[in-house]
Amino acid sequence: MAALTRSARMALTSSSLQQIRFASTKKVATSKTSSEDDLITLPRYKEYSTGVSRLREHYRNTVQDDLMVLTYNHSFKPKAKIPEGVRIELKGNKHIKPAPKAPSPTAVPELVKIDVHCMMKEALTSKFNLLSGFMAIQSITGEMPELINSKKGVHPWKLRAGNPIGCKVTLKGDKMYQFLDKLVEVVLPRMKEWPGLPESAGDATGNIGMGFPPSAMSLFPEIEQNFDMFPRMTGFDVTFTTTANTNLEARLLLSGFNMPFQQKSRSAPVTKAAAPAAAPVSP
Amino acid sequence: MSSPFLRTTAVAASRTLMRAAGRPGGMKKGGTSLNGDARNDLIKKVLFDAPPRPPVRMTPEDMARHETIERAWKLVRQQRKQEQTDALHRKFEMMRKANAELEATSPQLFKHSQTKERHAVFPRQLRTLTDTPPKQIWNYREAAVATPKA
Repeated sequence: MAALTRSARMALTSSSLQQIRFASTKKVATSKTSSEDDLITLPRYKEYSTGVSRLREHYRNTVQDDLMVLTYNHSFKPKAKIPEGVRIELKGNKHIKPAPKAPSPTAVPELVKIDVHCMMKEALTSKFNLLSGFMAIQSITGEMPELINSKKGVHPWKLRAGNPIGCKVTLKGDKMYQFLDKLVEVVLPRMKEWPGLPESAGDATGNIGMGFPPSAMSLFPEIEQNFDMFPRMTGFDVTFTTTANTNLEARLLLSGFNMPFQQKSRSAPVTKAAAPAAAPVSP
Repeated sequence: MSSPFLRTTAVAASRTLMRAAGRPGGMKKGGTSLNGDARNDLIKKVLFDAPPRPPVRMTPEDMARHETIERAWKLVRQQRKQEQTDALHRKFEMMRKANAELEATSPQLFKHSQTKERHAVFPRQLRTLTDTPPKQIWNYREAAVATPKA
């Protein structure tokens, strides 16, 4: 009672105190004789996180600060807004890019989601061929994939609109970071003769996509364990969606998670005086 | 009380079932199995016929405890995030001030400071935090030494 303020003490009359005491004793009395009907069912829709994600911690502790500094632009000028009802004439076939955001500590590039998608041509002959890819995608991501039906029919491929042709998983949050961790630590280092993502990777709006051959699927530890159980391996594509504005920012973000990028060795610019001297040496 | 491990045991059981029955290439061209492969049958069973996960049920006391822990953990995470956000805002403000000052003092130096590399990436040596770091650190210089041809 000492902790209560005066107003609260005023509000708590003796009768209400009695009620509280009564209610509490009553509750204890009922809980002693708890039967099966008293059990409360835990809601299923909630996801309980009991730990910290390693890569998320890495992002918050290391990458985020560096990204804020590296992507800072002091002379940023916001683009003039297009007034409503004004039609913009496009150059060629190019879409209008979204206006870049002003640099701020809240607009540091961040990974939003990872899409894992696979298309199986064999599903055209028999739908049961989808099962293998379905199982593989589920085991590497830990989520139930959704079925993808073709939007258009393509006659030469014997594909009709509405045919089930592939499956897709959208990963967010902890599962996303777990998948990225697995990809970067286990799968990519074991892919032979893969030089890394190209220097120019990105779709100009801050997303990066990459494709994997069927042989890469068997490098995942979950698949490797029971490789014989899958009738066929399928290739798949992974798309990283980020809040970055440009390719540069998106590449920086992914390289912060140890994603390998090709780095071409650029020689220092040759001065005009040095260039003719070097020419006779080479045959 | 039902346990969340029930499903895992069910899945493990079906996995052993799969391993026992699905020989690679077994039962091919068989009449009964899906698409002539017994493994498809099993995959379908594991994917779609697995029993649904039984709901977790608790006594009111356990529920109260659970909710208290959940709330406390949420609060901890919220406070940590707030700290980090505040630190980020402070750093940003200092960076902005420093840039503005440089622009006022020396436009030449400011211009140089604003140039950016087009293909900038984080160094490959960057490592993520781990609870079990290796005792021996990777020697990057070793690779630079040319090995003599046999």
